[in-house]
Amino acid sequence: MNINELPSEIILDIFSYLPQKDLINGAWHVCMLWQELSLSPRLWRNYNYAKDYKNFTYCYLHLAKINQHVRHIQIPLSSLVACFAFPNIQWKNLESLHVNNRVSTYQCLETVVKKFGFLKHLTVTFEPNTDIRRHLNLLTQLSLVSLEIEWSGNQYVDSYLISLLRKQPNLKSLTLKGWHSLNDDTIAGGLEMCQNIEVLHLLTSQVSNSIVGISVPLHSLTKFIVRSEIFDDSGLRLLANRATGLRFLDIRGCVQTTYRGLTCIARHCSFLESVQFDKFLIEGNSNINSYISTLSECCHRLKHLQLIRLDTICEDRLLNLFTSVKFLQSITLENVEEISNTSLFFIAKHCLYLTDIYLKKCHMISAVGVIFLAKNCKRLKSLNVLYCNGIKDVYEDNKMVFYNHLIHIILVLLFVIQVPTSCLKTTQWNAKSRQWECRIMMRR
Amino acid sequence: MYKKIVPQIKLETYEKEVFEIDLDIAKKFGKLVPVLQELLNDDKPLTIKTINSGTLKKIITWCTYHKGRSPPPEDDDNRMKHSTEEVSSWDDKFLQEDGQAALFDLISAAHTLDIDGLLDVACKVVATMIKGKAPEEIRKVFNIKNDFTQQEEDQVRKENDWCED
Repeated sequence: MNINELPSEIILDIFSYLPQKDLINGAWHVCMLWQELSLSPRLWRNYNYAKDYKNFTYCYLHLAKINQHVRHIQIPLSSLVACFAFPNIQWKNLESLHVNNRVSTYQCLETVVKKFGFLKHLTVTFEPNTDIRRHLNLLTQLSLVSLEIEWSGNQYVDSYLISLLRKQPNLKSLTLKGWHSLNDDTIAGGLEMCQNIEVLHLLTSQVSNSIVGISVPLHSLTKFIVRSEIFDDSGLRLLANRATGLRFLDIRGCVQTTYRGLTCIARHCSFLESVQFDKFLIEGNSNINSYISTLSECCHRLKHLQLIRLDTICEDRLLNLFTSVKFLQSITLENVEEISNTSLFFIAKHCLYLTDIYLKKCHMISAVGVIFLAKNCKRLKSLNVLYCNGIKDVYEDNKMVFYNHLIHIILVLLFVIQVPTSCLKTTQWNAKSRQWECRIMMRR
Repeated sequence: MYKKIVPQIKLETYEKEVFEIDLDIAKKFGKLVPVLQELLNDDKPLTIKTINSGTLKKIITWCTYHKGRSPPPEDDDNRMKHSTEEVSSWDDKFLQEDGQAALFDLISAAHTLDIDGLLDVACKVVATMIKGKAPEEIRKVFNIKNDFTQQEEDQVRKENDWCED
């Protein structure tokens, strides 16, 4: 059978796995059928404009054919504006614009805002020295659902940001990157006006606790990401009280937060699915046990568990957690001295949805536990075991066999046993036993 | 001796060869499952003329190998990635070992029998064969005829002139 005898919908399925570059330079020029199929709306809903075209003619012809299918586009602003010269390329159905160069000239943005008054999603980066006030003013003409602005200038423009946010009653997602001069009260004031907000990314260095110290509850907030050295436990406590529907919390880079604040979050946010924090920043191990018990009592929907640097952990509490949280998908345990094979047996028995596990410097576990886990967690895709002293016994027979369903394995390496990296032969397919094998050659 | 009785269904191929398939393997056949269950107690096999014996054998092998493995949860994020890297090397080897024509027979049969998992990996494998190739190479690999007319090529040239005006 020839490929072109397949039903068109299947050829289209195949095309949907191709990068857009290959559609433009390959599939489009092969034959009439492929040309027609490669222009299908389904393939161009998200369009990442890159200079993939052989020459201007092809670019024009192609854009003229696909522009009305595009809902989301990533493009330099000047290229988008240049298209307006052609009556055939008007991007009529655009909903979401991601400007992937830095904006400095006012005119380009003005033209775009005028043309796409109906835009719902906007991502834009401004030059640091640009007059951002005029730009922010301009954006008040749009009614956005999501907005991402990156700007690293120093001017004081808080009042302009406030008036922009005041015009955005439908805003669901706000991302601010840079914004060094921003006053905390500005964000707090903005939040009070956008109560429907669901996602808040504050990648600015100086955000303090007062940003969440607002008078109204943030019922819709599900995702909160903050990077700030001065955001601490009392900020987390305020957040826990305002945003009880929180699902994702990411406080990597917040040096001052501890497990005490996280316990507070766990107690109030019963929908919590994932908490991410930094490796070396969280101190105050004494509170870890109450954090773990609160998680097992309150957060039954937890999907991602991360625990780092725990000398004083009670394994009993961990076992309790693994039995009460049924939907765990990923587990990260680092420097957890007390975790033993018992925990791994419990995980294998209770966490049926587990797909990823990352164990680092957990010295009490041994190969028996790891192999039991790999055998029993059928959905496991990734198994990382690093620098665990207790795995020594695997090396005795120089071989560790893994299981079919594991796609990604990083192994038990180096450090203690001092195996040079070159000795690890990464995973191989063993046709005889029909299993993935990972062999480690030992030279003592 | 005790023998476990496994419910089986019968499929007849293009070559009129009849295959008996365990029901738990046939469970991979998406939309066809209810039809097959109807036929479970029937002695007459279900005839599918578009599938030949070799292809059906391969499909049974694939379904047996993937028995008990649930497909990854389908969400929009997964769909958007368009990743072709996730094909396991067993699948890759299995799909390519009999050459291209057999692969397309298999895809077509997977489509008929509605086996989503197989269709997905097979499409990914074909996409990998297209990736990064020039049109001329693609035509050569898949034996496709260049059917663009002179007229169309002229049109490209004409639009080019128009643009430069």
